[in-house]
Amino acid sequence: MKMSPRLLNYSHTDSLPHELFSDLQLDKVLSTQAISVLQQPCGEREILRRAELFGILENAENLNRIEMALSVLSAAERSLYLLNGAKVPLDRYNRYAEVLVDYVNSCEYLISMSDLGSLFAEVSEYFSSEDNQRMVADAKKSAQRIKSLLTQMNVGLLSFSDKNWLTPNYEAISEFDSISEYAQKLGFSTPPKKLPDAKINRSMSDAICLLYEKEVDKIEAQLSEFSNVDFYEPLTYIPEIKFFLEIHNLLLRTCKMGIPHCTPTIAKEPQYIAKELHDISLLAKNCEHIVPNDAEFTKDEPFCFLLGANGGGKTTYLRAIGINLILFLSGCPIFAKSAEIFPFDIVLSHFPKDERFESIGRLDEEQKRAGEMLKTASDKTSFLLFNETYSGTDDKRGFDLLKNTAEQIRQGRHWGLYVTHFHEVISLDYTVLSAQIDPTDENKRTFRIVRSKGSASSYASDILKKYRLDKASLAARRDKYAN
Amino acid sequence: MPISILYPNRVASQTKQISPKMLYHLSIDRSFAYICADVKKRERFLAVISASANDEKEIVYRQNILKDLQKNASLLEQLSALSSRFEELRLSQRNADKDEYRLNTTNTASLIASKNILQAQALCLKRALLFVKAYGDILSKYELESQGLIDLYNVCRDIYGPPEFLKLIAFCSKYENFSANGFLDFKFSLNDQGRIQEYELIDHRYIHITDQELQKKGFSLFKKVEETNNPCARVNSSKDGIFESLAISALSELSELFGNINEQIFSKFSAIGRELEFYDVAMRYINALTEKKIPVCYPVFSTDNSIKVKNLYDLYLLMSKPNPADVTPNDFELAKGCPGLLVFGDSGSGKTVYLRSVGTMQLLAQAGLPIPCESAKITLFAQFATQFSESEKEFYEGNDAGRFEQEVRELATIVDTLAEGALVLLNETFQSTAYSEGAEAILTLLEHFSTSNIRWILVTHIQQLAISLDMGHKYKLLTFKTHFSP
Repeated sequence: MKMSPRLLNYSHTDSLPHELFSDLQLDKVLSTQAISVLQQPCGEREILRRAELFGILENAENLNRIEMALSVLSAAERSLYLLNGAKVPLDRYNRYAEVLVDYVNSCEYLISMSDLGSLFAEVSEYFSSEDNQRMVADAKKSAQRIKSLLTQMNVGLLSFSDKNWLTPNYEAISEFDSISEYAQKLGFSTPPKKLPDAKINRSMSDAICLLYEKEVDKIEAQLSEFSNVDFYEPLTYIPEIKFFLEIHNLLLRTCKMGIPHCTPTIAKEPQYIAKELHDISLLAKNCEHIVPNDAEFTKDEPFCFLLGANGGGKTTYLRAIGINLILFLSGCPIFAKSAEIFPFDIVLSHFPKDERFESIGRLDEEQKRAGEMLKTASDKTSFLLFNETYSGTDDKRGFDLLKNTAEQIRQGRHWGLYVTHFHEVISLDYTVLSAQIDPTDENKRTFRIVRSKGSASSYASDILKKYRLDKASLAARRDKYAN
Repeated sequence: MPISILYPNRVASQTKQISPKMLYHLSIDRSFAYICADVKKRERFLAVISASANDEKEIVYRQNILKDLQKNASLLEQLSALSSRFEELRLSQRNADKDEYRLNTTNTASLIASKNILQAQALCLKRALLFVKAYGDILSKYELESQGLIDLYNVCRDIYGPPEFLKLIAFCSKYENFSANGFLDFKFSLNDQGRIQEYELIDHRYIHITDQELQKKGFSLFKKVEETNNPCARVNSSKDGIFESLAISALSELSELFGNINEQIFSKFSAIGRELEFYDVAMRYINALTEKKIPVCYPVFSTDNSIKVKNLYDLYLLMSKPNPADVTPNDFELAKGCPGLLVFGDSGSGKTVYLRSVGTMQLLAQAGLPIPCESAKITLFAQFATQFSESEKEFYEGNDAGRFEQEVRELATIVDTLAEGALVLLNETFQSTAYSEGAEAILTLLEHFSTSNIRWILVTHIQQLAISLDMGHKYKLLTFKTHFSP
């Protein structure tokens, strides 16, 4: 039996570890469901197909159609949920009629989406098959028949005394309506009726079914025709559509803040080049001004160290690199002006995690984790993200460990970025970046990531400038108060 | 909207209230203490006086009601007695809404409780409806001329006149005797999702059942020649409580409908009882004056803002002195365009009494009451204010301001509050300070009032005022000589 096509198809590479998402704080911006999709890189072919769909979503009319599709499918999901909860026959008949209607709507809607990119075209083709079309037509007719039969059964009179009876309702006027009518004629207003909205119980359902035996037989005959239909099949698209819409909404939100996004070009050789890359995890902190930075990881400089002042945006830069790479690997647009990226096999991170120091010390734990990370990365085109690894020990020991790790990275031919405050890294044969104050910013608050000149004194100077305790700032301050 | 026999075109709370201090200054509270001993009733009467009307139609409206009540001696008594019982019903219903006797049906737990509530609401509605009829029956017995009482009768008649009134009463009677052990019949409907969307109480006459079991057993003693076979199905009893819960909702909904109509009746007629109290005190006032053989006059209204009152009595003196002959009436006149009146005189010559009688006359007339005088043609004022010189001991606690400062403060409030078309009564204002300073200050004020189209009466012994006014002030003043009491 032919399987229904998926909107989200995955490659068979390793999935990305969940801690990568928490390290990069992407879990604070996206839902758990979206994260679970991003954990599975999809491969070059799917990147292109997903990118096509994200492009289609940029059109408001298309977006509206896909949102409507989600709404129709969600209604069908709710109907099925209610059908499963229906314990009494009459309730079940009503729910079944709803399920049929919603199933028909879902199929028809999915069929109508053939022009929304290759992913939806496949789905549309599947649901357009002759068998399926016939079944949809049958379901439509049956739903109408069942509803028509139920309409006859949906009104009645109940009489309670020593015996309880149910009879059809021909023309009974409620006491409320009679009194209201008289009161209104005397000039009084009457309150609106309250609708009870209660679930029917078994004895009422049984009595109605007994009273309308022939109608019930007809309904049962209709239902038996659909015993083999998988009503859940269209619903499998709900989480997939939600993923695309969630990412699209994130794009809309960032767009309003002036953050650009683009569909990266897929590089043939390993590299990661991007202009004006943004860290969108800062959205979770309601940060309105996100400073962009460029990324350039090439064959000549595949791995870099990043130095800089506290608060200089080193970790932000690291997250921007990681988050956008993850989005790219799942075929999503990334938050940059332009980019050309290679679909790396895996992305791994090493961030400090205090809560883990229970049985072993922090340094040992970091060493252990770094070892596991490098092991996982071996024999793959890996992109590694280190954040202040080994910073929890004295400078000499920490730098020795860092050197050792750097050597393993070189041997493994890994790609990535290592944020550290060990400025001795400038002595290693690696590219060193540093966070430095943007000279174009008058307030001297914005840091840019630049190729480091290799001067250790720049750190101290940055810190002093940041807090306006540098010579010039102090002189300016004195002038201000003197005047 | 509640029916009102006091405020035909407005809500009392929307009016500018007269300061209680003014009633005190004019001794109106003390005067009416002689007329009506019932403190609460008197307070409510004075509250109406305080919500003074400057709408001629409203004043005439009240005057005419009073004239109807004067003409039909037992009408007020009958209406008051009925209103009192109506108020009792309203209060008992309101109190029954609380605690264990509550008639609020929301969250009522048991079917029996909801049946009891339905009975109580039906009974209450029946009584309320019958009260409306009783009001109409009383009013129909008299030849009424006042618009207020005719309107009241028409409102009642609109309710009890149509045939639906008796049908509604019949429904109330039916549910007043609603039995917990009889039939309970409902109509229901399900929505397109199979949920119960309607569940309402119906009359048992709509139920047509053919019990097959009884037919088989030959239970029908009076078997007809041709049996009608009504389609029906037995409903098994259910332990899930849904039927009871739905029945409670249906009964509660009916109770709420009765309660809602009840509330409308109470709300419509709730003001009548309290407003009749005003007319009750007013009638006592008229009777008190009549007993003292004092002329009672309903004022007429001038079209040119002039005021002319002949032989005006001071109400407080009339009520407090054993012999009304000891009270001397005075004329009062304020010609068209005249901004104010200066009253001079020796101490104890009756200046303040004169001022008080004018103020009282104006307030009572604007409340729709007759006034103790031979004839009166008056104008209406939009606002009133009084500033009476008080002794130091009456200054409120914590006030460290001097007497003059206190007066200035009071006048500042008055100036802030009063607008065009007001009347201000000043008694010995600014006499606590140096003679010339007081004169200068009061002159400035009077000029302000005059140019602001606020009319004034000042009782003073600052003779310099008259001289200053004569010495070339722009405005003109008329100074009246009064016939002082001995």
